[in-house]
Amino acid sequence: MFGFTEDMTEKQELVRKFCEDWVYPNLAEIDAGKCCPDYIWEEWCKIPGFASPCAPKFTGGEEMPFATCCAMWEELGKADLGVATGFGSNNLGSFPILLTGTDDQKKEHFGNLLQGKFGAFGLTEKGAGSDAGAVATEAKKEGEYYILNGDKCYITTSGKAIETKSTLAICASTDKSLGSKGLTMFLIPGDTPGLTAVKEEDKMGIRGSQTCELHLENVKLHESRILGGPEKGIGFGFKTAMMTLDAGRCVVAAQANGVAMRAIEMMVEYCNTHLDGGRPLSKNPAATFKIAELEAQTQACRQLVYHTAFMRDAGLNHGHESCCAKIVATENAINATRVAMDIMGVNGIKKGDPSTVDGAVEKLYRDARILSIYEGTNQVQRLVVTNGLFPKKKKK
Amino acid sequence: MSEKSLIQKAAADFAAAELAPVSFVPEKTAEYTEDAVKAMAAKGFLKVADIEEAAIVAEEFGKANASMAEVAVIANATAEIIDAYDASKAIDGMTGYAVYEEGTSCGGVTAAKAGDAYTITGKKIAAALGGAADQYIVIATLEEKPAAFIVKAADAAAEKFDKLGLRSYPTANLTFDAAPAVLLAEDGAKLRAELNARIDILNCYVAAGMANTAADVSTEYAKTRVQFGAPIAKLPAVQFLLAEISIAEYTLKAVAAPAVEAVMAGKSYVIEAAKAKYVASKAIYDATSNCVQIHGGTGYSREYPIERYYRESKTLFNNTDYFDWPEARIAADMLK
Repeated sequence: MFGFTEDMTEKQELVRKFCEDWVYPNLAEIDAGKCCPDYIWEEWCKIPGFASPCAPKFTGGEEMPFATCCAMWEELGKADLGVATGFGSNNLGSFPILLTGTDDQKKEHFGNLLQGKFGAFGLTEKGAGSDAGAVATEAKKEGEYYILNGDKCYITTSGKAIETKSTLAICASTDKSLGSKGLTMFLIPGDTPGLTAVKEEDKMGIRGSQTCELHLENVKLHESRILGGPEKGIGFGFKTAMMTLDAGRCVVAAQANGVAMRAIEMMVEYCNTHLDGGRPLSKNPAATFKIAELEAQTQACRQLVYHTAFMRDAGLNHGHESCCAKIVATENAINATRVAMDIMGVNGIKKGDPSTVDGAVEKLYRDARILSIYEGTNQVQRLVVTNGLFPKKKKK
Repeated sequence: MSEKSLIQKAAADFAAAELAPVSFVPEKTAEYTEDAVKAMAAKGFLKVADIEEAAIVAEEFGKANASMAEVAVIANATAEIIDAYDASKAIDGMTGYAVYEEGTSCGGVTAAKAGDAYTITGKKIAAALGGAADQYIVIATLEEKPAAFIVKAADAAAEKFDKLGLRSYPTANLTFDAAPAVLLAEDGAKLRAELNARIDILNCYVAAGMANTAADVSTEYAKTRVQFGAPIAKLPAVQFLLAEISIAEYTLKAVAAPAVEAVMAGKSYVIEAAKAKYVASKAIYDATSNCVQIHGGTGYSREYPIERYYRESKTLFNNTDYFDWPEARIAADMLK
């Protein structure tokens, strides 16, 4: 891989060692639950900087480069997409604060995360999925305070953020007449009265990631809780959310590459150990060429992810590249699990031990399907790319 | 009403009344719905007259409950192949099918002859109707060649084989320890190819039923789910996904029809079935994947049946034979 810095290599190896020690051996337990077991998260947090890799130095964090984060999440995604998604919430949930938070807000939020607490980023609602601007959760101003009411859904690790009294970045409308331009991001302490996680989702896959529905009932917040402060933050929520997703999409693409790499690894192992017509499958081009094609696609996807990550680290606009990376990497990963099923036949569909070739692919197939849905569906990514290719002409 | 229409109506009515209600929870919990299977047998759906009727039943059942549709597919396909090879071996109950083995596509399970009798020894994995059938067709090696045998279920130790989808459709690993066996066909390779072909043909119709349901629920959702101020059905991106599901349903029946005609005409049908399987396994995957995509997060939740269709689509064609079978068989036929 061109351009891997020493830091990226070192951190990726640390993640690999962590996964070998804590994730792979416990995949069956992870897949049986609805959230990564606490002991695995606690071990992750013991590695310096890992609890919140992007935490700024002045908050006590390591402020790791984005490319390093992508290298880490590729490796986590390879081991378990659910764990990667859940742990990634402390990156995704933090981007809004990094982007627009005040120094005090950053100290509070990253102080929580560096203690081993979870963050969360609450944008999606039942009526506001792909149409993020349709957020209905309302924040009404009452003097120096805002009263929030509404419901959020599919919010990663939000139950944990509430349980550990951490901080959540939640998007609400402060002026419905302005549509998406009336959205504002709030930094809400997990123990604020009226904020509750009402349901933990039961998902087909990524079961190592907690996904909750949130209910906000008369949640009273001082205006200082507006991300960026009341002067700068009002009406800046949608833009913050979109800028957050620019980064999040690239991380999802990195995780997808990890999934594809794991699928390829399993296919190679399977072909080396299984016979077809009396000879190893590894001698059968009908199998090996399919794997070779996936390997070529996956390597191309990795280049695109790291290219995008380096652009971000260089301070360049990378929204377009991030969308492109998400489209190709996630669809490649989903396809890789489909091809693995085809190659492994009945062994592919078997519910076995997911830490071995005996059960890995069945779980990978279920996990991977979320990739073209979350962080903006791939249809939305295509819309963003289209808008970049065919910009609206400005009225004279 | 034509005879076909009557069968179709009977199958559709039965599926709606008896199979749809047990399609959701039992599949989630991998529960074998024995009462539903008994009801299918009582109505004659597990031993129909020919492959045309079996296809109608497979499609109608596939719309409501793919697990139970697969039970009907295996029961009808095995009954037909026994009739075709040696009708005297036919039984009233269900016949399962054991072909796969651990670490290899086939070959490790052996048959021994002692006088006029045979015994089978070894282990098969993921046997169709494993643990539920009354007897099994078993492919085993006899004098270094594959032969097909019938073994009573009571003579095999069954251990449940749980899987990605179709979890109410029973599959099990079977262990035979010198199990008494009756020879069905000395040419086990031929019988295996023909039985696999019949299963694949019928699976195309199960898939067509599944695609029909995927089209219905996706269309309804697209009409009622509002984003950007209008139903998502107004968005070209969603319309294209919907159209692909409909095309898949059409394709699934179109590719299988020549194979059904070949069986009915008493002609060779293995190559036709291979071509149908090659197209169908991708078509039903695309249809159910599109269905998930249209539903977004809802499609990924286990609270709704959408994710089940996605799991079932990949299970359906993976429980017959190994991965490169269609291409290999088609190419071999072209090059002979």
